[in-house]
Amino acid sequence: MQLIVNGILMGAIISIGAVGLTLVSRILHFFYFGYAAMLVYGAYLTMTLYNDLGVPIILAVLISIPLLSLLAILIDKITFKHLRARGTGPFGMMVVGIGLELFLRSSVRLLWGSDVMRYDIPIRRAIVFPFNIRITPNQIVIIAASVALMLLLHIFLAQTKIGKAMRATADNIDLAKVRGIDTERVITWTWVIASISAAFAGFFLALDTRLVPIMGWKLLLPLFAAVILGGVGNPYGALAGGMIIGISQEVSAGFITPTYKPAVAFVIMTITLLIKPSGLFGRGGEQ
Amino acid sequence: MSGSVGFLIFFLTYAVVYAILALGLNIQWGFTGLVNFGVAGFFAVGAYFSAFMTSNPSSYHLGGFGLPFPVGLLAAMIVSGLFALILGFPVIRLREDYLAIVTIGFAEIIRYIIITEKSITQGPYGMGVIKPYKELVPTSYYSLFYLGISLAILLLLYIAMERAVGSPWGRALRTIREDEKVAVAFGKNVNSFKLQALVLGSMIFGLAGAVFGHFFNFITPNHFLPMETFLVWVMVMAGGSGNNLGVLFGALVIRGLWEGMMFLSDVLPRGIQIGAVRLAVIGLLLILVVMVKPEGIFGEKKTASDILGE
Repeated sequence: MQLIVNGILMGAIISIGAVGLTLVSRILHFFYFGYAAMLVYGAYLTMTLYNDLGVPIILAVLISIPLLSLLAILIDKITFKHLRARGTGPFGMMVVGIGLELFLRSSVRLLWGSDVMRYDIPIRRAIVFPFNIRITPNQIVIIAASVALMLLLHIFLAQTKIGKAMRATADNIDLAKVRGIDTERVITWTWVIASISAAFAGFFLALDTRLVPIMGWKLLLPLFAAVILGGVGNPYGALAGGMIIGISQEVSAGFITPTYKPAVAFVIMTITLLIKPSGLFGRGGEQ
Repeated sequence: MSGSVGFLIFFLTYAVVYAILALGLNIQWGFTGLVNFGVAGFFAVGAYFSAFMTSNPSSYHLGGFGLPFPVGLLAAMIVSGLFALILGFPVIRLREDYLAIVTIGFAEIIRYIIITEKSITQGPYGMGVIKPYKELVPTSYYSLFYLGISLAILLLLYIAMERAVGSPWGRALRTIREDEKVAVAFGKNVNSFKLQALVLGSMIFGLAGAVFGHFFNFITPNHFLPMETFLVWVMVMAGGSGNNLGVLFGALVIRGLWEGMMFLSDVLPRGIQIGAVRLAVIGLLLILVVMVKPEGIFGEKKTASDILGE
């Protein structure tokens, strides 16, 4: 039971992160490894705002989002925009994304150091529920906030004009262009959504564990697994995929050495690619 | 050997290891257009299996069969090739970006296995690897002797690779890279050729792993981080994918840059970690190659038939 609760917690973190990644993967048409660095930047910016500048924690997360968005949009203007104009394929984009991931992760080490850090939030004792399930108050906050975020995101995608344009672009980029959707504007908004997604996922992950520059890279495999399982470009699929990956990873720790948790994500992802590359829900995907 | 000569020998041997890796990746990516982001995984498999074969009996890790050095090299190649076959058989048909993620995941899992299975690999503490033929040469000349062995291996490999890519087999690979449909139209089994390139290239990564292990004499999971994969990618992409001499040059220059950055530590303010700077520079190089010079410094040699002329 405890493992399932841990799984739901991890699933919430992966789901939140996977939503941004799935939209970027689909709308920009490549798998962006630099997303891992966005997560790390979000977590560290929040830490500086909270630990050093004394900004209340909720506000710190909210301030980190526009900062992260600016950084992402700036990077897009410097690199990917030119590559799009030149017609560079997904592979070239992916290599640039990896370059960015290595560069940005190193910059975190240079700016904040490589030491393990944490938010100066008092550690509170876990609350013991029936069946001896232990959950810390922080973890309850993470799960509740994730649900709220997912609802807000749903409203954004389903109700607002730009949200609809984003879904249309994710569905069929050429059709979206023909219908007069400004795809560059959609891309800018995609980076904003990705930043929200990355900032919260990074913050939750750091809150539940610790801050280290490598934390984003370590989450990347489960994130991609969630994206592919849910169907690339399908935000609701990413939510479900994230939950499935999170729960399978944690429950597997009951049977195998915990170091192999990422291997569970890897196996699920590879099987999905072989059997149904378009993902569980059949929408996204290219085939 | 000490001082700057010792350092030069160390640097060159290291560069030879990466040159071998670059030749392996050039078969996969340069000639076949096959994306493999799991170089570090096969590199690790080779290093560990050669160590298992050649070291003396031990209860702390697998093997310790005390076999000769060439057997270690052979084992490294065979086992790496087998891993490539097992991984590649189901996934070789995947689209290139999916293949990228699958191979990177594969290499990470190899690393997790090395860290976790302490009874096989001695886990994160690493294991010692023998110096082959050390009784044949005086200790002070040993590093020069081993550089000679590594260079001989590289030279043989280079000749073999040049012959392979010039053969009809090599032409089939290039056709697949340029246009799979054309290769199919000529009756080539595209997936079979791709699998062959994956296995052959990975055997070369395994060979490089063995050469590295016996050179460094100590291997830990930290020698096989994903960063190593991208270091090799920079060498191949910057040197010129599809040009064996170009990627050798790429390996030498990038390795030189990597070692050269060590001297930055005298210039940079204290507290700046050289490891982070190195990683950042590799990242920047990856970005620059794609943005500025996607064909690399040398590009590919023209291989059109003489009859066609220019």
